[in-house]
Amino acid sequence: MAVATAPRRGMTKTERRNQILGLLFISPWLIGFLLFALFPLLASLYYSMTNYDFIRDPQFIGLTNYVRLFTIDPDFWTVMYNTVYYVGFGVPLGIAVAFLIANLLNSDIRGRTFFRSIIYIPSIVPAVCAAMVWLFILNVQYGAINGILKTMGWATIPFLSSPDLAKPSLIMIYVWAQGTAVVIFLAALQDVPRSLYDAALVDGANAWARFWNVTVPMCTPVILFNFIMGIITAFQDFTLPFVLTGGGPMKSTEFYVVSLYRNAFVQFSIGKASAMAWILFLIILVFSVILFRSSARWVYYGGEK
Amino acid sequence: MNKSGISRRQFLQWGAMTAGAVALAACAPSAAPSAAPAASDGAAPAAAPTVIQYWTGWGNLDPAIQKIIETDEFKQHMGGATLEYKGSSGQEPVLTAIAAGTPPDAASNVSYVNLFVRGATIDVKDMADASTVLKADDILDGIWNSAFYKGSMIGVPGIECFNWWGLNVNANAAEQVGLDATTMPKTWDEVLEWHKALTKKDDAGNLLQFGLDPFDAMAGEPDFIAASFGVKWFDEETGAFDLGNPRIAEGMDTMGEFIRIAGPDQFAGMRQVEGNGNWGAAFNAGVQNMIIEGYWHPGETQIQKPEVAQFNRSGWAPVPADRKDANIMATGLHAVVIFKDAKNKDGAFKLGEFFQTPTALDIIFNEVGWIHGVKSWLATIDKNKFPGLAFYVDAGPQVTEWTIGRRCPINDFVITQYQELREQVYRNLIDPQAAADELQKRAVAEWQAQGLG
Repeated sequence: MAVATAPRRGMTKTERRNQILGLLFISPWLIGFLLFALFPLLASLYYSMTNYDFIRDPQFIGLTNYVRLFTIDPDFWTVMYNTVYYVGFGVPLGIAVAFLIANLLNSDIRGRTFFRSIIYIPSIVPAVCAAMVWLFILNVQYGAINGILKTMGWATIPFLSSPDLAKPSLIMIYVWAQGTAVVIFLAALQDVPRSLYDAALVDGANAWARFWNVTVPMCTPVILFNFIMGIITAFQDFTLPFVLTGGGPMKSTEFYVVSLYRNAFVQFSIGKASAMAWILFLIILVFSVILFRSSARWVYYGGEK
Repeated sequence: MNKSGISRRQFLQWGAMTAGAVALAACAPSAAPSAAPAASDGAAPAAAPTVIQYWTGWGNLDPAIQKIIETDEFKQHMGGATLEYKGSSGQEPVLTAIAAGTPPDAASNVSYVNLFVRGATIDVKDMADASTVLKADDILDGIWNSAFYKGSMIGVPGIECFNWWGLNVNANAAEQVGLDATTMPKTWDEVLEWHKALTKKDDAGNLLQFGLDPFDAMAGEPDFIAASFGVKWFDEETGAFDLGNPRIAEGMDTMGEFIRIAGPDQFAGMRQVEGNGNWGAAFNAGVQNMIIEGYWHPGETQIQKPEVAQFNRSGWAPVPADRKDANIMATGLHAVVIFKDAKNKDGAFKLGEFFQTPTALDIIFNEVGWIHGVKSWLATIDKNKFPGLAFYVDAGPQVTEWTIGRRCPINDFVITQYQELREQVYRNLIDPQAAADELQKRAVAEWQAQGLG
């Protein structure tokens, strides 16, 4: 069947003027985006295919940086393992703990506002300060926990200085700093219709059944959101490992972005660092796509038919 | 009535366009200095820039610079030019400024060879030859030679260039555990015995203090382990590496034993604490009682922690028993380097010249504790001003093996790999020879990958 198409009508003078005016009004953002986001993005893609050291002109070498990273780079697979370990354990654990805390803070307890503030504080403390505080809690020589152990005559625990414990310790700190996720979960919890709980009560559901069959499904959109944001930020975590452990001991906390930084600014390998940045981008993209694709099976949107 | 003014809409349009144009203009790169007309082209010479931008990686030079720029001699020498000084400037701002085409005019305590071989800084040989202030024959040979790389002059040597590598001991701590601090240990075996005596743990095995971190400060770089065990790890003429040498492996194992005794986890934890972690700080804190450093250690310690400095004793850096007669020392470059894109190259060179003068040398010595190897000035200093300094001042004629340090263009890369592999060695996760071979493999691969081969 032939479909009649409406004849294209050119813009009137007023429409064109309004369009130009609109573009001019957004031009500060547009120029900023083009110069400070899009251009560096495309430049880094180009640099990732060059031998570039900040100083000499970039030499195009195709995909050599990528091949080197995957085949002969001494650190790539170590930092990849460290980062995936950190994200793989830290993000789900962080989401679970944040969700549980949000549920506790959503209940009718005394001092609820106070506890909500306390939980959120780690999110507004600068990461460097938080790192220093944790250093003096966990350090094997001078840390508060080990200080107590020492006074009791027990052996200390090298939370941050043992290759076996350093990553779990950083994950623990990551989980501690989930205040933002807690606040978002709280907002979602307060949006769960009361009528659903009432209906569940009438059906004889106990507290666990109400939590599992009402609260969790109704919060799945927010769980998805926090999951994706958690993955994006955890993959790019820099301050915590850099300040707390410097990537050690024995590169056990040398995370992806720390290594990227070292390649760029210590080893003058901007080309390789750019390639690392694009690989990270693809990894995050893949994880995000997988999460979005899987969301059809486990995320409940109230507005869906 | 006809209105001759602009409408509100036109005003907004023009306003937005102007703002956009201003934003674009602000983002445009500044005119490259090289585009400026050169006097040699026959054009009228432009007025000499009156500002010199100078960045250094040091944090403790600031008070000395402040005093230097206040002297009449400086003002006269610089011809009225003013100094824009920035201390504690890490490598990141320097590199990004170079990439942006807006480096400072000069810098010190940067990766000298690395920047020079890549063309970021200029050869100053012609300027040095023409100088009446910079006198090659008045500068110690090793220091003067360290300013050259393959015949080109990297920068004007200065600020602090003198003898590296001595074993510094807290004599008070040593005597408290029954050691005779008048006879300094020389071989690794002897130093290890001192280390054992000076390392203290509580009943639960927690580390309270230790003798020597053989990887602290200057000893943490590949230059030191190679020199101590008699290896030349990098040949700058051929670009060949010898990091897989069995003696490097032996060195990693020998030096690693110090950490094994302290306990690797305990030791790493102690190092993570601010005040113990950075260069040499554990010695000042009294946690570490021996340290392998350079001539600056006595002066810096005196200025920063006089109550510790009074017990400082200095002697030869350790060597293996089969090399006990080797007296090793190093020197290396600190210099005022001038960037290719500097706006004021002449002013930058004059700054480098001024650091040769007794006025600047005295201020730096008194304020920071640093020495530049200018022979005529060295004869005037009080070598007993700082406890332990006399050893470094008098050591020169007795040195049997000199090293000029930090000559490899991928020195920073090798250091990071060396740090990881030696830690695997002292944690007994890798055979020392396998670690040395791996270090060699990684260095060669990086050298080739960076297009330096």
